This record gives sequence, C-alpha cells and structure tokens, in this order.
Amino acid sequence: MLPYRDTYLANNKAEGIAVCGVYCQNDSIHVGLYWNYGGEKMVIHFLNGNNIPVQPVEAPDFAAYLFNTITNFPEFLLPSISAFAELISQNKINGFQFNRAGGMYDGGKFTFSDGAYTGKTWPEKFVNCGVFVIALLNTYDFQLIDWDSWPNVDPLHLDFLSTWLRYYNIPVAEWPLYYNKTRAIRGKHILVSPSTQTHPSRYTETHQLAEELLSQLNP
Amino acid sequence: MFSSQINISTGTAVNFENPIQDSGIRNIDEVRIFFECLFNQEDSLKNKNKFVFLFLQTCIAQKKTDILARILEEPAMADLHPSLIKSALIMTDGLSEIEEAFSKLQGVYHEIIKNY
Repeated sequence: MLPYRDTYLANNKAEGIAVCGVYCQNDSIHVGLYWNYGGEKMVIHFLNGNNIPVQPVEAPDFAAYLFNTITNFPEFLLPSISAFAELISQNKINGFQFNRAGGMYDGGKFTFSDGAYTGKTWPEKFVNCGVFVIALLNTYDFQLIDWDSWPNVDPLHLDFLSTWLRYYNIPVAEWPLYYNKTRAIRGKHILVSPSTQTHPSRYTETHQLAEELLSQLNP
Repeated sequence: MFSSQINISTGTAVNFENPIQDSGIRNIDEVRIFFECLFNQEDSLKNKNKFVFLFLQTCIAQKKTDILARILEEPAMADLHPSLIKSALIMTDGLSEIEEAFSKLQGVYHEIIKNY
C-alpha cells in the first residue's frame, strides 16, 4: 500500500518528485504531480483545460492522497519543471499543446511551435489527469510509462471514455471512431507506475499493480 | 500579457519596442539582457527558469528568430545551470527556423548532463 500524505511527508524530506493520487470511486483515481524543491512542496493536477491548479501539499484536500516517489527523475531538472508547472497553472504559457494525431493524445510532450492550445477547446479532449502527468514528464524526456505497450480502450469497458465523449457532445454514431485511438490509460496506472520493476512501466505489470492497489482501497 | 514587455521577479523589464539604454551610451540588445538576468546571483533558480520560458515565449510570439538563434548559439549558454538550458530547449523545440541553433544547444546540453 502506498503511503498517505502525512506518512509520506514524514518519511520523505529530501527534494524530489512524486506522483500522487486520490481514490474517487469504482476504479477511478485522480492523479497529480508533487515536487519538493527550493523549500516548496507543491502539487499540480489537471482538473480540466481551464483549471490546472498548483497547490501546497499541506492543503486539506491532499491528506487523502497517496504518494509514490519517482526515484529516477533527474533532480537537476526540478527548478525547471516547478517553474514550468506554475506558469501552466497561471495560464502564462501561450500555445502549449499536446502532440496528437487529430484530437487524440499520442504519448507526446508539450510543444510550442504554434498557438493551438490557446483556444482551449479541442486539444484538451481526452486529456485527463493521468495524461497530463505523462505529458508533463515527457516534456522533460522522462517516460513514466512505455506508451507502445499500452492497449487501446476496451469497447466493452468504456465508462470513462463515454463520459468524456458525452461531455464534449460527440455524436454517439462517431464514438467507435475514437475507440481505436485512445489508450486505456487511467490515473490508477500513473499512480503505481513508479513502483514497477522495469522503467518505463509496461502495461501488464502496471495494470496488475493498479488492480492490487484498488483492491486495497476498496476491499 | 507579455506581448512586448517581460517583468521578472527582480523587477528587470525588457521592452522590445524600445530597447533599454545602457547609461545613455549604447542600446542593450535582448541577448545581452537575457544573459545578464540569468547571471544575476540574487534571483532563485526557479525564477530564472520562469524568466527563460517567458522571455523566449515573447521572442517566439514576435517572430524574433534571429534573437532566438543568437541566444541558443551563445557560448555562455554552456555556463548556465542545465535546468535553464533544458527550459530553453523545451521552449524552442519544433521551430523550423532555428533548427540548427537548437541542435547545437541540444548537443551542449547532452554533454553537460553526461557529467552532472
């Protein structure tokens, strides 16, 4: 079982970076990225395209979060990623976008060659809290998961994707077009990925760990 | 926001429309301002990284590719903390007009982090 915030902070005083997440319901875990650098202990988490807060880890909401240190992230990049995250949260970075094929995330990073994100409509489609964490780390050439090992969403278990498709008013007749372009990446996978034996984390092992965590959280 | 001016935590201002005068003797260009701010010992490394992102963003928005190329190719880049170099690379990745300068800086970065 991963430690909750207070236990984690008591045992991890050194500067570093971690994935953190809170159990929501069913198999849903909301995740974010925590850093301890320069006297700051902050969390950034993607709520939606217009709301990507950076908050002190001491905030009451984070007491229920589980933490998992990313041990192999280059520590010398902490000043950059903490600055970058804060600027994104403050909406001061114009035109950050995900490398995507069409409206879908393809495992890439934030790029700045045009201002496509400024509109904040299409680009955040299918970007969830987990994808945001992956993309933020990918921007620093750090791969949390082995993207190619990840399966597409299973059309028989589409609850989370259906929610997004409905939210963005995608006609039901067009839903199958998205099934083969969306990876089955969930917050639960991101939260456990630093604990896998191989890095970047491959799907099979990550999924197994995620299911074990869920069974502990929701026995 | 930041369309023609950047303010960083030290209060330094960069106005691209009216370059700052240096003691009234000569104009200071953006490249010099960029490095003077980064070699300022008073600011935190995190704030310097913010400055890199915002300064380069302004250059990109104003299509000042000559300034961007000069910054990326400036030998002084190698003396900066690697996080600052990485921030510059992140901000300028994918800009076709400065591909050569980007590749050179990427080489510098990889050399530095090999021994870091």
